[in-house]
Amino acid sequence: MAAPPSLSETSATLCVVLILLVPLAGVGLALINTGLARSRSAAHVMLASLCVFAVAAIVYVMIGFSWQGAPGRPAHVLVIGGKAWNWIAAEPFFLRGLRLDLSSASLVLLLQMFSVGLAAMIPLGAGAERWKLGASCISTILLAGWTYPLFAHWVWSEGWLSQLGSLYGLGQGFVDVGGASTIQVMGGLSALSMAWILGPRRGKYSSEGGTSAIPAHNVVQVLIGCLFAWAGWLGLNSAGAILFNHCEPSAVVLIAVNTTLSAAASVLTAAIVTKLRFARPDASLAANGWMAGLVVSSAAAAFLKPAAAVLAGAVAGVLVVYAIDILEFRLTIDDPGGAISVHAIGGLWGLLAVALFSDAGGGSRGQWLAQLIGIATLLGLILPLTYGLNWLIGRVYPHRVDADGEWQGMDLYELGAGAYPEFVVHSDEFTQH
Amino acid sequence: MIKIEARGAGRGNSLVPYGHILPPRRFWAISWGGLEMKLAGFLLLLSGWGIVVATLPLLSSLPMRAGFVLAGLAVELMGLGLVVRSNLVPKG
Repeated sequence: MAAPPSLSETSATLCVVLILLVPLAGVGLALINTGLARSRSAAHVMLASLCVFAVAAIVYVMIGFSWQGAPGRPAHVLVIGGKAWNWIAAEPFFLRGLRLDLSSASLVLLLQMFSVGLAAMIPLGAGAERWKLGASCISTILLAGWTYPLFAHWVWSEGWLSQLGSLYGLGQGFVDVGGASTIQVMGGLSALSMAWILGPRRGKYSSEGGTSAIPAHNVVQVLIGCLFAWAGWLGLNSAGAILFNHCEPSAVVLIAVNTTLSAAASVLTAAIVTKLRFARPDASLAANGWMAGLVVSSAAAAFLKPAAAVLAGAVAGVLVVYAIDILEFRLTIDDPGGAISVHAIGGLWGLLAVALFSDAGGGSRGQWLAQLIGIATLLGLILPLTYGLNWLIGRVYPHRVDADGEWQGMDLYELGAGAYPEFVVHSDEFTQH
Repeated sequence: MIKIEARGAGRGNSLVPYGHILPPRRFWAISWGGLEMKLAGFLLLLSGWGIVVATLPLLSSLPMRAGFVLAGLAVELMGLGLVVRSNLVPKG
């Protein structure tokens, strides 16, 4: 095992500051998920965000880090065809033996404790208004304790995906410095699994073939969430680049510029596309465009030139608008927060954009292949694993609230009080049932 | 039934939603429907990943590897298609 890469004091200090920005991304996601849900479940979504973040942090520290590890730390390898495939870390549970200081491993732990919380919050957007609080916490235990650490080890802790370059000559190996795959696509695929397992909200798809519009209750909250997420993403992408790609502190400038440009291009494109399609810019779709731009930047910000970041973001803006449309109307996937389109599809596009627009891997064709193998692993292994584990949870402890709860709203049913007690009229009380 | 057309993408800026609540039996059917197709879909997803991973130690040239990785991805996409289809909510 190679010696742990050491960080200079400047890099480590800067890294701490950047990592401490990451929880702002969580604030953003919580506000977006809450704003895009109906008012009757607003407090529930916000509380669920806090609870899954809490569960994720505790479970990750207790168990998850021992599977994920950090670069240069002990790991189990499997020799296949004469090459050592690094499958899983071999750290003790409960952080035993890890000194918490400014070392690289400590900073990885700190960043990952926040990152796994972000990944766990993403499915809440898809499961809003019908996913029980307890079930979402149990699902988070599996995500933070097993699925996330396993895949994150492969990508960030010298696992086999990151070693595709050194073992098989595929460019730099699978590249993702800001968590487009580990956080975003994994969270997005978990959101897809939950949307399928939970089924659509009552009244979303009518027996007559129609699709109901269930409007967001607070678009202002959603847009404020986007601004918080921006700050968090700056920290996430920059800290990831320093820790996992060994970038110098000076690279933070390029990463911040690219992150902002990608989000900016994406929100503008989404606004223009919705203006062209519906005659007016759609605020919630534009917000989703902003988030998709940030997600794309997670994969690519450290490697792209600014013009390429604009292009990657612009494509994400178009993608997210059409993806939300197709998922909702054609594939009957009810995703109130747009989590699948923004995080899964945006993240997959970001991973491809690295191969398409960047000089990672020296622009070799092998880099393409490494990115495709990472994507194949996400779709072919992580999606069935996530779906299967959540399906099993649902057999023991049903995920979905019963019909009464959904009708009353999750706030009243599970928490006993509404988020906005002054406003008690629900718009669908005026429709025939 | 009150029916008001949604503006925009029908998510963010329409004022009043419309639609029926599906009867409970139908929801039960949705959550269990197409189990065999779902299972076949997930098996195809896993098989596709198996092809992709097996490519690495078994093949050495880049074009061959690329071909088999693309083939594995194609198998995965077929599996994803089946899973999506098995989860479609019946409308109308």
